[in-house]
Amino acid sequence: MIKYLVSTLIALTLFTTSAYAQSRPEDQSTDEAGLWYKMDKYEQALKNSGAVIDDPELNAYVRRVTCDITGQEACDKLRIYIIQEPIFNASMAPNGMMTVYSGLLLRSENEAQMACVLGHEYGHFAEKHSLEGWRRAKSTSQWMIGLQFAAAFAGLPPEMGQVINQVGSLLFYRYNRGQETEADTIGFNLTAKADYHADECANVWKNLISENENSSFKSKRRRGKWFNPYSTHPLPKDRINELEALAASYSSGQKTGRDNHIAAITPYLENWMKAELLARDFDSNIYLFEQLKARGFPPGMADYYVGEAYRLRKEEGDRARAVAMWEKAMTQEGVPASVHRALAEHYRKKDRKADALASYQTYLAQSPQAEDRELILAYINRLNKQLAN
Amino acid sequence: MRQYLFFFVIAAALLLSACGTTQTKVTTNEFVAKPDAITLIYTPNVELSVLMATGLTETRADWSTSGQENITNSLKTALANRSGGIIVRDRNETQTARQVQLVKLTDAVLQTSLQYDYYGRGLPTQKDQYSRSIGPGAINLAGDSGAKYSLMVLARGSYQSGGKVAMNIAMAALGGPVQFGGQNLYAALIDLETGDIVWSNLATAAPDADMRDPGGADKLVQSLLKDFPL
Repeated sequence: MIKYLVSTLIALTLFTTSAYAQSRPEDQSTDEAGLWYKMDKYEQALKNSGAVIDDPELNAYVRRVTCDITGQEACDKLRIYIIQEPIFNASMAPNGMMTVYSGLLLRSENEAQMACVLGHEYGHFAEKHSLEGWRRAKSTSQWMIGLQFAAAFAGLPPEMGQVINQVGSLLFYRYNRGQETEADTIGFNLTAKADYHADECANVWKNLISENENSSFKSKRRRGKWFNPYSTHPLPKDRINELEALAASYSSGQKTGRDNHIAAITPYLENWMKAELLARDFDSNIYLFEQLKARGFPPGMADYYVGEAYRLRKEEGDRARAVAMWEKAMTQEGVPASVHRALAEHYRKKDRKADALASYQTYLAQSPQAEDRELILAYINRLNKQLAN
Repeated sequence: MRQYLFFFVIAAALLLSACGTTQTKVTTNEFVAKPDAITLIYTPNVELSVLMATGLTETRADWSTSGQENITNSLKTALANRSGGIIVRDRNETQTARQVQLVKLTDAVLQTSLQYDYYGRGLPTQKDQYSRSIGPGAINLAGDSGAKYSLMVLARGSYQSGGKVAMNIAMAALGGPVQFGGQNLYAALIDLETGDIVWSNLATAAPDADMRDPGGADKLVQSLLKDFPL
């Protein structure tokens, strides 16, 4: 009950002191101006990076959802960069530069989940967390040095200095986790206030936990399970608890924006799933791609890439699983042309020449500009000759 | 007490004795200076910070901005009377996508050159040569300006805070580590036809060559451009 009351209070105070926009510092001699100067430079480099996706439609979509939750005035101070990177992440710089990774867009089920994370990042900006963090680092290092001097004068052994350093950094990490929790609350409030379904913020972390639990890598399966005092962020399960407590205190809207989200992401689906495979975490890929299909992305596309994950995983029986997925994909909506190449390769290796030839031909017919066109034409020629003999 | 005084004197001597130095390098690739050529000068990439008592450095926007302005003006003055002309270009101003990438590439090559050719981490294959290049695509930097060279300048530096000075004195007295700030100006002249860095220099600022004021920047640029080949 007390917990419930506390979270209600937090929710109420945050609603009333709604997040405000930050302006460029006027006094150029301050620590804040220094942070902005550094980040402006970083942004200058990022702006022209090949990793930035500058497609106006996708940018307009992400911007629209952001502005819907922050309000126009605050939103005008933000510059959002979508980065092609198959990782669940987003970041916020003190000068208003927000970066959103493609892996985050791919993993969001709907507008609401994306809004929770974007609102969280915006919360860092609105509350000047970078500046606070830097000031905290400065004051922490000051008292650490003071204590070290005192310890040295008191004749304590040098190990004492190391202990002081450890305590100082642990306190700093704890402080950082506090900022993350605060940003989570802001993200939740902005999202809920914009009439999105209040449960979706906790779902972001539930999905991430499930994906990690399905990883091929032990380190990733164990990630975020136990408390680590050196963590910069709270544990996902603690974040879920906080967010669920907030949701319980709020009479939720019903909007999720699922269809809009799927429509905005679908043009990038193939490209981004292909990028996910690069991490070679195939078990987690298979889990994610199956999820994407269940969420309403074109099933032919998802099945083809599940097949790809099997093909690349190369465990006992994976070849047959891959072929089964590709054959299933062929009957589904949204299947990419590459499925015909994948099957053609398989048939060629199995010496099913006529099937291979037909599939290669379908591949080129559907994808006449394919990068590997010359190679495929060579295969077609060879197969034609072999079949003629 | 006498012992403390002794350390104080040593610390003070160290603080005052830092004097300006330069280290010029000339390409070992084939290079003939084109004396009447136009040189494109990009506004320098500057970051100046305060070195605090705790050893942390904090960027100062005002110092960095005035450092950039002063160095740019000093470069203009110093190179105004050369036979070839100069064009000053703002490194952040809108250029073609290719030019932006070339400026970023140049920054990366400059950093690499500093790390391996200047700060003692020499590469075994680069022992007897100085052969850094951004490649012949460099000509795209010229655009329709007709420039044959471009001069890229990088400035980094930190200045001790009052607290740091006091801390150094205390540390010296206790026999602990001391840290001083310092400022460096690094320049590379790029032949836009080959992309080679044909000349480069790393100048360390003397106490009277503070780039935060125009006079100091003039002095620092003078030592930077010693042996400038054009």
